[in-house]
Amino acid sequence: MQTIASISSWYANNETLIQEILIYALLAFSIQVALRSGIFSLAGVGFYAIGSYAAGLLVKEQAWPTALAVIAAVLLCALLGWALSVLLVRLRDLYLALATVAFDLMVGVVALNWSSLTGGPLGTVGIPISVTTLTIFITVLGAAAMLALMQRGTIGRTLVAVREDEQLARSLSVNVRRYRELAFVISSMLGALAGAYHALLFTDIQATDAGFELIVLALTMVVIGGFGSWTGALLGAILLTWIPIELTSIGQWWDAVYGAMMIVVATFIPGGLISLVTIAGRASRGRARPSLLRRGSAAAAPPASSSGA
Amino acid sequence: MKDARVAFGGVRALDGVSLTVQDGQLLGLIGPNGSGKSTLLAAISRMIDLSSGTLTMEGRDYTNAPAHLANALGIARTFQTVRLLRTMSVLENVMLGAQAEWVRRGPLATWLWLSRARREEKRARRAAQQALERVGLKDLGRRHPQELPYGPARKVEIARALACEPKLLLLDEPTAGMSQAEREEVGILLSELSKDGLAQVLVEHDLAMIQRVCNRVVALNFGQVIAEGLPAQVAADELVREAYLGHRDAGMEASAPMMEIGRQ
Amino acid sequence: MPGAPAAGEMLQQLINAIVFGSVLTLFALGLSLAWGTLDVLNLAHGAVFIFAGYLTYELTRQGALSFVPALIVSMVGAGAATVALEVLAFRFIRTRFANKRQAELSMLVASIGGAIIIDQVVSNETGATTFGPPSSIFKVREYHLTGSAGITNIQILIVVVAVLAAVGLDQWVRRSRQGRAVRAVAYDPVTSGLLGVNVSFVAISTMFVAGALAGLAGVLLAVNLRAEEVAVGQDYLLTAFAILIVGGVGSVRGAVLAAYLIAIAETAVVAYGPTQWRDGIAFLLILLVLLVRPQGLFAKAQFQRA
Repeated sequence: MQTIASISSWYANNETLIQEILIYALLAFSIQVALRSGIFSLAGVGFYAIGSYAAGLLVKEQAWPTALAVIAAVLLCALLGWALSVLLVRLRDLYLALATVAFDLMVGVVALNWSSLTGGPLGTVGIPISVTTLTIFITVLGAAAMLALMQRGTIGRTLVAVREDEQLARSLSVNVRRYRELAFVISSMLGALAGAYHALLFTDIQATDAGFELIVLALTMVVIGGFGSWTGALLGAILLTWIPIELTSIGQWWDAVYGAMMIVVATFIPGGLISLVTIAGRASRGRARPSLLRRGSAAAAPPASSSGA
Repeated sequence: MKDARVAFGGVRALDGVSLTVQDGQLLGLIGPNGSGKSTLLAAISRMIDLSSGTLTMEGRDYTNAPAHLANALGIARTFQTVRLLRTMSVLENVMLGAQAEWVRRGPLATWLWLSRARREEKRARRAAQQALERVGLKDLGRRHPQELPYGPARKVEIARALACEPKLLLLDEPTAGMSQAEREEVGILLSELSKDGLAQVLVEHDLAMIQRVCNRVVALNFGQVIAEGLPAQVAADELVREAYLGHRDAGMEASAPMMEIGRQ
Repeated sequence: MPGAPAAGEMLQQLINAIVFGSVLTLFALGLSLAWGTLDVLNLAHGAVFIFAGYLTYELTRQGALSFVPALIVSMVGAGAATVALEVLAFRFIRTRFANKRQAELSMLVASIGGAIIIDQVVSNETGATTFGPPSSIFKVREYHLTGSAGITNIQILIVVVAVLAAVGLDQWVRRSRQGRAVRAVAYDPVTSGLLGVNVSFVAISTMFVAGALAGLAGVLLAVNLRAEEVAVGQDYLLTAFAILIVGGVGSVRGAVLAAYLIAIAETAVVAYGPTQWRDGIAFLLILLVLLVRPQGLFAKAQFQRA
């Protein structure tokens, strides 16, 4: 009885933290699914903004049922995401990254100026709280399951080939464009989900919510956690939501410690922190391989489907 | 059966080249560096666009088809450099070829059609293992590409192309950098494949190898066919000897326009 | 005389735009150099820019140093901060990561880490408010032009320095031995290493120059405005993205043209147009240019990989 009581009191004390982690996990998934497919897109953050306005306004102004509003927001972003992926089809790497950052920030500028819809600088406030932590948790589980399917078997290998060597992929029947579009659209939908839930849980939206800071945070989560797998994105979301809170206790230099940790992980752990977990797991099964010390980036992505179907 | 006609106008890299490959034919493609051999393979596999001319495969025109459809028509290829994916095992690399047919169903099918995926995975795994056995590497499936020596790594690439079950196989210097013993193994393999009815185009510098395995040879220089016929005839051809021995620097000049094509 | 005040006003806006464009030029040149040569999109560039302004503030507020020594020390400090990132992070990433795309990603995140550290140092030491060097270090004089328009000596200095720096960098990259090494590394780091170019030295010196240029911009802006804060670095960084894209990554001339173009456009929008759309200009330009002409509107890349 006492354990149950202590668990529930721990939960009560940390509910906001858990909610934030879940929402950030969806956003991190959004970036991860793109990066893993070789698409350096940060558009998920822009769709986070669009999704939050769409769901928030539909519930608040049109009194739509929550589920319907969320679905509408996600479908809208799927469509916009597909359109964006078609527009940006020629871009790769840092150029694609900058184009999508520009898209994200442009969404913010439009939101700030479209006062009649978004409330402009005042933001959209007073959205009724209409989702529960449990709903979000189930959504995260569902999204994780879909992403897990996407990184194994035929599609898992195909997306790795698309990421590592597009020309080779084409020579093996892969319609690179279609596979990239799928990853882009899934990324948009996950971003929209994160935004929609944020709006419906924390009741207000500011045009500056999805700014450069959020882009940086989402990217950092994915790279620190490890972009090779959804588990890395989840780990990144947990750590980067939780660590800053822990670090505040060490005083005014916590940000610097946080920055130093980012440099160390980005420089010396190419597969992200999740690769340490994988290596530890292998070591405990007695077949440790020093992936970290190997030159190159073999540790970046786990073997796509070594466990079979 | 197969008629791959290639004709470039304007650009020097390939200048009005026509060639046809029959079932079971092993066509050797020779010529100095930059003579257009790799460009020709890239054109046949639709990695680059033709400025003019047509490509046909079993009577079907695929001159403007996207690259992934060339593979669907039965054209598989290897590249001049080792292009194995380091994050996957050797077997999984070969499975990329074995799964080609399933991949053509598109991303949604391969992602969500789970009942079929299970079967496909088993089938692809078996087919990939067979392809590895065919090139004589049956025990290397679990290794990672970066653990393999150069020779076996190149053989894995042949296995991956074979796993596509192609009708036409394009090989870009498959034995470059291999030991003599490995070269002979590959030579025997290609001859066997030819006997099984597979059409092949082999780009190769080793004239001895060409003479041994090919049943027809085309020599290129400056993007043009300078000789064509049986291996012994072509090897004896005056123009070919001159291209190979006479003007070593000629190849260097010709390589510049080829790069321009590659970039387009 | 109804037209005169308006003309004076317009002239003033043009002067403001040119001064703003000059600071942007200095800022963007360093970012462009690092990206064009080493494939590093250094997100700490904005933080380094502010850091230099902070150093000048710190060095001059007790009257310890006068303007020129403080400027030099701050530029060296900014260069050193950038080199520190190169030595501690970028260098390892470049040699250890076989996959170029993943190397770019890791460098991006490492540079974000660097930006966070530098920002934290500055805001801790300044109490996270606006700061600026005392007016005594640079005697500002204003020259009156027609109507209400005027230009100060520091503004003239900024414009002159920006033009000199751009010409100097352009010549350095084109003419000097070191510049040839930089172009060689940009074109093909592996081969130029084999040919005897000391790639690691080229990388360090390139990053130093890039950081020092950001520092130069930061100090001049701090002296001109006498009020700087950490958040400003990010605004400049985002605008510089647009400059690189419009001008073409690695192109000195493109960067200069794009910097003045964007400065004029932003100033015009603030002065005469829908002010709150100002930030949108840079983002819209990035999107449009990348859609239409990904290699940049102006010059062909001069030291960027083909």
